[in-house]
Amino acid sequence: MISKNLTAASTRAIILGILKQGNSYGYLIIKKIRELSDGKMQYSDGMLYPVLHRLEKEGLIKSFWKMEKESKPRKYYEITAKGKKALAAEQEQWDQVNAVLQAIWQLRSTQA
Amino acid sequence: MKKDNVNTPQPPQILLKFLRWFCDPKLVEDVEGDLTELHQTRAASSKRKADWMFARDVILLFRPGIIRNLQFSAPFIRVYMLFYHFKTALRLATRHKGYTLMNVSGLTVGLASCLLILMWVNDEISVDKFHEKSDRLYQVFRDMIQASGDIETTEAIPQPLELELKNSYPEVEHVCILGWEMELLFRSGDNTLYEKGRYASADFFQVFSFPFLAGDPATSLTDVHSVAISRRLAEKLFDDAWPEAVGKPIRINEGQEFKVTGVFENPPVTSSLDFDFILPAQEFIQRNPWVESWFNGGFRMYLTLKEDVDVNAVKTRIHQEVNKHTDYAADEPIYLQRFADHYLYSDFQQGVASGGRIQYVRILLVIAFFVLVIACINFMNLATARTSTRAREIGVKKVMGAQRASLRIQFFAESLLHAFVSMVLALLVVYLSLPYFNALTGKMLRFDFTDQKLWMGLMGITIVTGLLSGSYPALLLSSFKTISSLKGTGQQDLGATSMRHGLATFQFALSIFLISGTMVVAAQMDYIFNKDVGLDKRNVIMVPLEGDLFGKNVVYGTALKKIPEVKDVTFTSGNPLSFGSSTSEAKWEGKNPGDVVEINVLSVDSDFLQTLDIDLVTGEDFVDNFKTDSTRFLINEVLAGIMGFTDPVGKRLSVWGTDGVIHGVVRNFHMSSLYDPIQPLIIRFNPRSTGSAFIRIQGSAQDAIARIEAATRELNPAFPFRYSFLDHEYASRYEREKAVSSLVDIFAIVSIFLSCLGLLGLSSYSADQRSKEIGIRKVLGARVSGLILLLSRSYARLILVAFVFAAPVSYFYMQHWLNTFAYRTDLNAFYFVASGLLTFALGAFTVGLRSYQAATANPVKTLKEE
Repeated sequence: MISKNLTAASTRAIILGILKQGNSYGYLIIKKIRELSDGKMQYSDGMLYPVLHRLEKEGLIKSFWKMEKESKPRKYYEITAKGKKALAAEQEQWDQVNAVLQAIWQLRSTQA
Repeated sequence: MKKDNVNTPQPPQILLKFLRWFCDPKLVEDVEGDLTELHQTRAASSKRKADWMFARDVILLFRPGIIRNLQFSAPFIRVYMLFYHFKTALRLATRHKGYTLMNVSGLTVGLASCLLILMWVNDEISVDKFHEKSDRLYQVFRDMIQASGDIETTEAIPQPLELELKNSYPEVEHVCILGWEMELLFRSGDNTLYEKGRYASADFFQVFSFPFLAGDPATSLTDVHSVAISRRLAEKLFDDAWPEAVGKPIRINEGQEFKVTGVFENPPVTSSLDFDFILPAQEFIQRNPWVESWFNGGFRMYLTLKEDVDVNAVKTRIHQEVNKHTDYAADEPIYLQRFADHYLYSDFQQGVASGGRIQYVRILLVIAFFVLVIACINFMNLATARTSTRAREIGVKKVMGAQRASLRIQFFAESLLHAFVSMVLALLVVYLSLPYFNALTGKMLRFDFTDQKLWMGLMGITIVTGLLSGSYPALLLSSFKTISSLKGTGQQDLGATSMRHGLATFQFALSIFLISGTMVVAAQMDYIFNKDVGLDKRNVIMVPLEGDLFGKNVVYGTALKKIPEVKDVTFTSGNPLSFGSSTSEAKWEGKNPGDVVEINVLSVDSDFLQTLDIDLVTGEDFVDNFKTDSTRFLINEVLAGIMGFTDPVGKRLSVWGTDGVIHGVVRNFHMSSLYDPIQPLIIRFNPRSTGSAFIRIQGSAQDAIARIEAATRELNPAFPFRYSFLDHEYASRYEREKAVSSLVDIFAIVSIFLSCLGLLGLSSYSADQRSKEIGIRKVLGARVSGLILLLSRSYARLILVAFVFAAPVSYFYMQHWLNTFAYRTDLNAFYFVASGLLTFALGAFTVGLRSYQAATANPVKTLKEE
């Protein structure tokens, strides 16, 4: 199971990343993350909503109403151009973190 | 757009409502959508299980970050807190009954006084404002520039100016003349009554707004023998048939018959013009052609300007109108004053409206403010004095997270609650005392509860009083430090104590100011009423010569002198309070032809000086022989001074075409208000011009009046007997001063009462605080007198400081006020020392009483309480 802190830290990049794949809404995003992480990444109740709201406020995503068959209209989110740029920046940072971590794992294994 | 599908399972509505209630509105759409979708997915297997899971999710979402921001519920909390503050204030008020009683009674008295004064002031400032054209209605005045350079302003305007304004001034809409007030006998059938009214020209009812109930205001005064009467006179004359009064005949003064052409509504109480009939001025002018001269002023004159006319342009144009038509024989410029301003600004000094009743309005407004401030200070002082008892409460509240603002609101809520309760009681007090207040002031004040402005005013005063009273306690108490508050000690810091003492000193300074002012006003009134006016005004009865009495001076005089209670009788053209005629045309030896001196002229019959006990300074009295006396004049000392002769007796003097000599100089006597200096006067012997009998009586006044009435009725049976006392006439000149003086007295007493109430509160508190100290001192052998001194000393010092500040201010202000009188009492230190001593005595008594109680308390009781 991935720790809460790490989940929280990566939420921004993950949400933007998922929305880059296509428009979505809260429950679908949670489902998608669960699938992608094999259930190892779990969002606690209500954790996602304030993040979505904040991202919308920052102009990285925008919401719209969408009517699906036989159900109530749902509020969908779509990534904006600004959001895409932010995602690129996030991606770069995570890559760097990943590179550092990789290097460190390498180091440990050599010493071992 | 939202459409539910009936086939899809729905989550429990109550849970949804709960979610919508607590969830942040910005998130609720996402949350609700997701939970509903999840519920639908779950319900596919089990609806019941899905509902339970939905409930679990909703409850888990009831957490910070999802719950709506507290800011959104702030108004609710604020309202609740306000309610809570009022509840606490109510509890405190009922717990400390004595303190509440003191506060509420003080504020009630203060507010009631303030309300009464404001009602009086409101009535004063609303006088004459009811006329529809009030904003463009002006009265014409004439400045008479004297040889000495003094300017005398008169309302008497040459009548031809009316026609000039009508013909040559397109800016003027209507203009009318109005005569002096007169009292005439009205007869309709057997109904006879004396009524007061005036002469006026045709446009009178166009200029002023006295609505007509019958007849046409535009034409009611066009016929010479017409009369417009008030509703009350119509009711008196015609009873229930008054609405049909128009066209009916009325006989006036048992002579000419006049036809009623209009019935107008009674002039309202806010009208300075009060009359029950208006006769056409033309009727008077026909009989008195002298008024048609540009050189004589016979009437008052009023005009309305057309809308949007520049009054200053008219003022400039009209300025020299009289001078132009008199070929600049004298310098008498014309001046326009807005009629609505005249009631308050009726005194003229050097041709400029300098004041009048507005001075009383200002004085009373200041008093109202003072009284309310004193009452508010009481509240502040008592509230801050009780700080230590409230300190723990404040400390605990602060520990519990109360903000300073919240504590401030609490104290304001307390003071507002007190102010509100006091206002309700004050309204009751005012309501009950209004009849007495009206009797005292001669007004007809009443509450009009349908008037929105009244409610807004009351609300405004309540809020201002509440905020003012609560301001200092709110600032001081909320600033306490939490730790020391919890200890309940150390609150009485020097700043708070000095502030409290400062406020108490200020209160006493105001009281000393008001008391000394009241004493000076009373002394001046006393001076006026008892001043030697130059003649003996006591035991003199005045009877107007009317009907068959007129022209029968000898017969009437002889009949009166037969009455044992009648000592002397004389006849004059007016009474010494209104001469009725004056001239600027008098000429004497050596007078500079260009000089203008306005001189009063009094026509008298025999025994004038003897009856009124007027001293002759030099020369001789008339010898009661018309042939000899008709060319002799007596003058007063003022005129003698203006003429500049060392001995004026024997010098030539010419008045109204009669050439004669000055036969004597009489001692000055007062003719008008003591505000004004004595005017120059010529007394001439002319029995035919007299209109009043002056009868000096002796012995029983009742018998004298009964016999005089019998003698008068015998000669003049058609007219009811009328008389008045000369000293009452003098006194009536100062009615407004008397009324205001009584008001000042009352409110000065109120202010000292309030100050003492405050002092009682402070000293009680101080005695309570020091009860243990007193107990220990007593146990150690202190005497009661020593303890009283200990407790009273600081307050005595406050009163002393107040005196030092108040006395000079009061002296300066009262000297300023006295200067408005031409004849005034001397201002001496007595008034100030006496007011200081009185305040000191009352203060000492109040504090002493409470201190005595404290000092005589059994120390066992005070010391065992721990």
